Amino acid sequence: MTFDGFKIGFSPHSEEGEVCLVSDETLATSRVTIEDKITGLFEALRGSIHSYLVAVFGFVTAAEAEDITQDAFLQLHRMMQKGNQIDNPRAWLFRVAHNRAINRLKTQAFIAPLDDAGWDEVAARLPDTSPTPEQRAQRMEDFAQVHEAMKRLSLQERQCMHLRAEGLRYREIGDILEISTPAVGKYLRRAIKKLMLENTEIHVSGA
Amino acid sequence: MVPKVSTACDSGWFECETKTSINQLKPAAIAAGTDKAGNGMNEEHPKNWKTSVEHPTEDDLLCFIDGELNTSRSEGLRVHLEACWECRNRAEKYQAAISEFIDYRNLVMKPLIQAPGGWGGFSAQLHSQAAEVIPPTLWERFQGIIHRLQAAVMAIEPRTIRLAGISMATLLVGAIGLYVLLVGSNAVVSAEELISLATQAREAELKKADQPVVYQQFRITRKINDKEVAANVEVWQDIDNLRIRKVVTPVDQAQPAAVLADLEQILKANKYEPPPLSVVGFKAWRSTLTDKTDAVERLTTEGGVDTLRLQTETTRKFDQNQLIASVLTVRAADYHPLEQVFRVLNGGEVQEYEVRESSFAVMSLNSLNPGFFADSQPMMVDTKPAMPTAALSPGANSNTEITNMNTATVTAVNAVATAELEVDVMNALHSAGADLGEQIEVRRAPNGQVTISGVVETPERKGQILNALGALKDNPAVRISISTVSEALAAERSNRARPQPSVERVQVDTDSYPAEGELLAHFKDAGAARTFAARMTAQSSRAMSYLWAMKRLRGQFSGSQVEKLTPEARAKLLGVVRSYASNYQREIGTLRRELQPVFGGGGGGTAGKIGSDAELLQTIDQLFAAGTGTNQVIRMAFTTGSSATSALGAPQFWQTVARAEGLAASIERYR
Repeated sequence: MTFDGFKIGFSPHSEEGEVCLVSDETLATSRVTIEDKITGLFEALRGSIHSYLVAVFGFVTAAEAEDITQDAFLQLHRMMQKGNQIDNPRAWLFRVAHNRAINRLKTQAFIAPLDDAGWDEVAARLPDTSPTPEQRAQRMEDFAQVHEAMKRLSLQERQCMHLRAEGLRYREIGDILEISTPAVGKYLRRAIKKLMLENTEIHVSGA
Repeated sequence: MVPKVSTACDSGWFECETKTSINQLKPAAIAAGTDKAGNGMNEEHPKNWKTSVEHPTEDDLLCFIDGELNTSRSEGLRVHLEACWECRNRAEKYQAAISEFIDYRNLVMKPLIQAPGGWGGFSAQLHSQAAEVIPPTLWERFQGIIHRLQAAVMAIEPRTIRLAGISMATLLVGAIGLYVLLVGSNAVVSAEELISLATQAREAELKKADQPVVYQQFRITRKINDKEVAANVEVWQDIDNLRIRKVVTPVDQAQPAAVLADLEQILKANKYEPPPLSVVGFKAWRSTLTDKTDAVERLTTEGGVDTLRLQTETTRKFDQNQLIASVLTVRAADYHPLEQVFRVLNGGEVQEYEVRESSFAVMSLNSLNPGFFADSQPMMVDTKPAMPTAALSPGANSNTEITNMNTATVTAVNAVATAELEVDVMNALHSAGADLGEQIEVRRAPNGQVTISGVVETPERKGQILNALGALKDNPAVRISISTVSEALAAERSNRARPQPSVERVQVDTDSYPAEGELLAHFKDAGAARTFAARMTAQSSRAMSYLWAMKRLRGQFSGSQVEKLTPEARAKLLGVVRSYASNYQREIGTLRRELQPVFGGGGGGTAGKIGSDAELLQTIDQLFAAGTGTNQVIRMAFTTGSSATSALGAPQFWQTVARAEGLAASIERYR
C-alpha cells in the first residue's frame, strides 16, 4: 500500500508483521515526523480496526467504533511523543481498540454483532455484483451458510477468526485478547470446524 | 451422513505413492514454515512426520496451514501431506472453510460496515494533540531510552551476540599480545643493549655543543656498617682536550672529604676508569669480568621517573679492594645515568659507594673563562663515547646558574696534604730531573694541599714531568699546574692577569767581560776563551740548580717536622737531599778543576760531621750561602758588559769554593 510518498507494510525484519513506514526515496534524506507516521498508520489500518470492532462487538452505531478507532491512534501518538518505542504498531492498535471496546461494553447494553443479524436483512443490503442471477443465487446461498455458521461461534472464536483474517499471527492475537498462543490455535480450530460442518451439512443437504 | 473430519485420519498411516502438489493448500504457510509463535505451539507433542506412522492432529494441521509450526516440524508434515491423501484432504477442507470465511468478510460484511463520520476530524485532532502534548519528562525520556535499548538488544540475533563476543575476545587477546610485545619488550633490555643505547645517547648529546664541556654535580656517599661519609663533587670535563676539573666539598666539615679519591683509587685498581657515573667506565670494567651476572629491571623512582637499572656482579670474589658489583641506573626516557652504586669487598666486609647525580649540563668550552682548566688534571681516559647526554636533570641548576658558576672562583680542593706526600712529590720531581733549573715550584700550604706549578720548554718535557708524578696526580691533596712556554704565553695573551713566565737565559756575546784578560792570556784565542766562559757559566748554573732544589726542599720542613716523619719518609727525604749534595759536590768539583789552571787557587774542602736533622738543615743553609756566593763570582766574571772586576783569582773565592765542597760532602754522608 502506498500513500503520501510512504509505503506501509510488513517489516522484512519481523515475522510478526510489524508495520513500518518506508519512504519511497529514503528515510535518511527526509525527516519523518511522528504525526506523519501516525497519519500513515491511520490511513492503512483504520478500516481493519473499525471492521473488527463492528463485526465482533456490533456497536449500535458504527460511529462509536469510529471514535474508538481514532482514539486508539491518538493514544499511539501520545505514546510515541513521549519517546516510547512501539515495535508492532498494528498489534498494539488492535489491542488498544479491543480493550476500549470491552470497556465501552461494560457501560452499555450489549448489542448483537453484525454476524448475529438476520441473513435476510444482510442479504437485502448487499450490492448485486454477480454476472448472472443463477450465480448470485448460488453465491448468496454460500454466504448464507457462512452467516449462519458464524452465529454458532463463541465471542473468543469470532475474535480470533477476524483478527487472523486481518493477518495477525497467533501470538499477536494472544497478546490482544490476553490469552495464550495455543489457546488461539484451539479457538481457531474450533471456529473453522464449525464453519466446515455447516458448509458440509448445507452442501450435503443441497446435493 | 456427515463425514467427521476429526476422524478422517484415525485409520492410521497410509503411505501415498502419488506425489501431489500441495501448493493449493496455502503456499505462504508452507513456505514460511517457521514462526516464533510456533515455538509455543504444541511443543509438548513434538513429532517427526517424516518417519512417524501417526497422522497429524487437527491443531498441528491448522498450525501447518497457518505457518505456525517450526521449520523442522513443518517440513516433516509437508512431506507427510505429499504422501498422505487422507491428511491432504483434511487440510484442503480447512483451507476451503477459511476461503469461504474470507469471501464472506470481504463481500458481505465489509461493504456493510462504513465509517459514518468518514474519518473526518482525525487530522485536526492529531495536530491539536501534537501542539498540546507536554514534552516528556526526564524520567519518561529515560524510560523511553531504556525501552529502546531493550528492544534493540532483543532485536539482535543470539548468533550476532556470540560473534561479537568472540570478536571482542580476539581483539582483547590481540591487544594484550601487542602490549606485551611492544611495551613489555621495552621494559627489559639486555645489558649490552642498555650500554649501547646509553653510549649512543651520549654521543648525540655531545654533538650539540662545540668543544663540549660536561658539567656534573653529584654526591658520593660511602657506607660502611651503617656509617656514612658523603661529599659533594662538581666535575667539569673538557672532552676534546681530555682535561678535568673537580671540586670536592665534604658534606660534614668534620669528616675528611677523601671519598672521591678513595673511590677513584679503588676504581683504577679494578680497571674501572674514573670518573664514576659514566657508561664507558662501566663498560670497560664489565668487559674485564670473566664470570659475571647481569640483571636489568625497570623501576619507577619515588619522584615518578621511569628508570632502567643494570646490575653487574662478578661471581669471583677473592681480592681485597675488589669491585664486586656495580649498579648503574639510567633514565628510561633518554638513557642518561642518574645513579651508580659500587660495592667493594674489603677485609671481608662490603663497602658501598653511592654516586647520585644532582645536576648535569653540556656547555661549550668557549663559554668558560680561558684559564678555567689551567689548574686541571689531565683525564686518564677519553670519556667522550661513554658519557650520557641529556638536558638538565630534574632539579638541576638552570643554565644561568651554571654560567655564573663558570665565572666564579673555584675554591681549592679541601684536602690536606701530609709532609710525606710532599716528600713523595719532591722525590718524583727529582727522579725526573724536574727539580733543577726549571721553574717548577712546589708549595704546601699549612693544612692545605701541595701545589706543583711551573713552566717548561716543550710538551715532551711536560709529559715527562707528568709521567714522573704518576699516581700522585690523582691525589686530591695534590694540584699540578705544569704548562709549556707556549701554553703560558697563550694564557697570558688571553688573560693579562696571569703573571708572564720568565725564562732565564745565559747571554754570552762577543762583548768583553771582566775575566776576558785572564782567559785570553791563558787560551791565546778569543773564541776558545768565549767557549770556556760559556761552559763555566753553565757549569755554575747547573751546580747552583742543585742548591736551589735543596733550598726549596729545606724550606718545606722545620727540624721538628723532619723528626716526626715516618722512618720511610725521612729516608726518602734524606735520600733526595743527599742526592742534591752529591750532585752539587760533583759539579762544583768539576768547576774548580777547570778554573784552577787559569786562575790558580786551592784544592777542595774537607767534610765535617753532622749530628742531627736540625744540624743538617743548618748545614744546608750554609751550603746554599757558600754556593750562591761562588756562583755569583763566576757569573760576574763571565757576564758580558759587567763593569766589575773578576774575583776569580782572589783567595776568598777559592776558600768559599772549598767550604762549599766540604759542606756538600758532609751532607752527602749524613744518614
